[in-house]
Amino acid sequence: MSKAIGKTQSMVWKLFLAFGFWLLGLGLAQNVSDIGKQVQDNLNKSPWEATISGKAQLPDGSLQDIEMHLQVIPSKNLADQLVRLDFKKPSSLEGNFVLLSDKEVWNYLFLTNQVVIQPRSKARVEGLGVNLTSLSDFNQLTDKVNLKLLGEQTTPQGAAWQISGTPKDPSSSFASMEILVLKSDPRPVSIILRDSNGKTLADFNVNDFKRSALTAKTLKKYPADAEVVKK
Amino acid sequence: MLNPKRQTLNPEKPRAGLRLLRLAFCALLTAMGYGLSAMGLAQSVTFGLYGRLSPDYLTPTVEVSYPLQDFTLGLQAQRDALGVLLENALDLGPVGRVSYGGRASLGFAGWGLQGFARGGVGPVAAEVQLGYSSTPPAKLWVGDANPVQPIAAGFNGLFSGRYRLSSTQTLGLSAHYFGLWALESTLALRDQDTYTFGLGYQNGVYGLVGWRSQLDSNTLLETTLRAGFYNRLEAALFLEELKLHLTLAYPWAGMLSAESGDLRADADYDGGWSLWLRYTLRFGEE
Repeated sequence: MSKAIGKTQSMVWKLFLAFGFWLLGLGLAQNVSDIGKQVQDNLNKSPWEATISGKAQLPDGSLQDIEMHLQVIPSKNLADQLVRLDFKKPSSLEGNFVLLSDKEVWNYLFLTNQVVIQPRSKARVEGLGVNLTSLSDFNQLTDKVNLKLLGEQTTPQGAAWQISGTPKDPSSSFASMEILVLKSDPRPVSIILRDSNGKTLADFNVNDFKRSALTAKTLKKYPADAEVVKK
Repeated sequence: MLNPKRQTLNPEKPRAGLRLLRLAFCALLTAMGYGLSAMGLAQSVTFGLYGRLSPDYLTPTVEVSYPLQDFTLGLQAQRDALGVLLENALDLGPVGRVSYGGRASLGFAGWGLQGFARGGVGPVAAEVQLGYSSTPPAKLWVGDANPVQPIAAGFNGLFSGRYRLSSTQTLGLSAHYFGLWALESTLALRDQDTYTFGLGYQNGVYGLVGWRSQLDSNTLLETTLRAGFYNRLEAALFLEELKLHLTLAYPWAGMLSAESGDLRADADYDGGWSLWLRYTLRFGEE
């Protein structure tokens, strides 16, 4: 069971990383640089939150429901940037959250009621082989992904740009990605990850996007009786 | 019911030479703690003073935590005993964390060894602890003096496991042998608050009810009552800057602890009163 959970988690992180790739890497891609700049400017305007939901396929072919709540405090000052990801599904991870800051990665584990705080240089996701610190390493991300504008598509939220991306490193955890970016309010509304055979690894929608008065104190909140473990 | 045989930390009267040796030993360890903290090598150093009435016992305590590559090395010292702890952990990010390690204690009263592993992965959390000591562990480290659940000399062990049936239901099972066997099973149901129900056996059957609630954004209260052939009431209040724990058991025994920042005070009653005051110096943190 823990293996299956690990695989599910790995899939979740693929999505999270893909989202990070998209958020941070899009702006420098040559053929979608204008779209990237619009998205960067839009998402960097003020704190925001959104729900990411969909399905991820496990190695045995079964589908796993995934739902996460994402909260972001953007800032030109790297030290003030914060990203928090709360797990809602699968139920085994409900209540867990991850907080990324400039210097640290926090993992709150609901079942053991622990907050594990690690320096970013040490924080890695077991089984994925990707350093989470790359999420905010702009240059490193744009070095890793080729992005291309395919055209436009209509989504329930309005017209959207269709963008494809392929990691430059063939050993990456996914072979290609497809992202839909809303034109009227430049932000992602859908992300699909595929393997080298074109099989869908994850298919996620970004819903309930809204600007919020998020503060660092709110994002860093955890239960008062949690055990804090510093590495 | 609790084991009526109460533990005593140091009932025998030491001879003058032995007492001098113990004082010198303690002074050396305290100096070592200060030295390490002064050099900035330690992660944290905790200085404490423990006192007990009937039988009388007074000792300074020193706890040092020191990073050793991937391990954390801990040193514990009191007037007549020294303990060494080595711990490591496997961090799995948001999936979980498992820590494991061992502890050895040596003192004038005897010696002890303990191995442990605890943590959680996905929907499963567990703790395993196995130890042996030639004397009650409370004589080797005052922090092991638990008047409510005392550990006897010889082998001791603990296993506890929890499994998340769903996002709101968690099943728990635990067993320990601390000189007496005890078993407990629980079911925790989480809505806004968490309600826990369970059954256990320790000298007889008892029932368990628990309630955990976030009273407001900065206040959390948790209470657990065990009643039957074993009786224990636990209450914990967590405020932004203060943590309070109270445990009462019948036959009468109790523990009260208060923690604020780096200061901590523990008062125990098990037929005799004791008080342990501690202050922690932390290094390498902003």
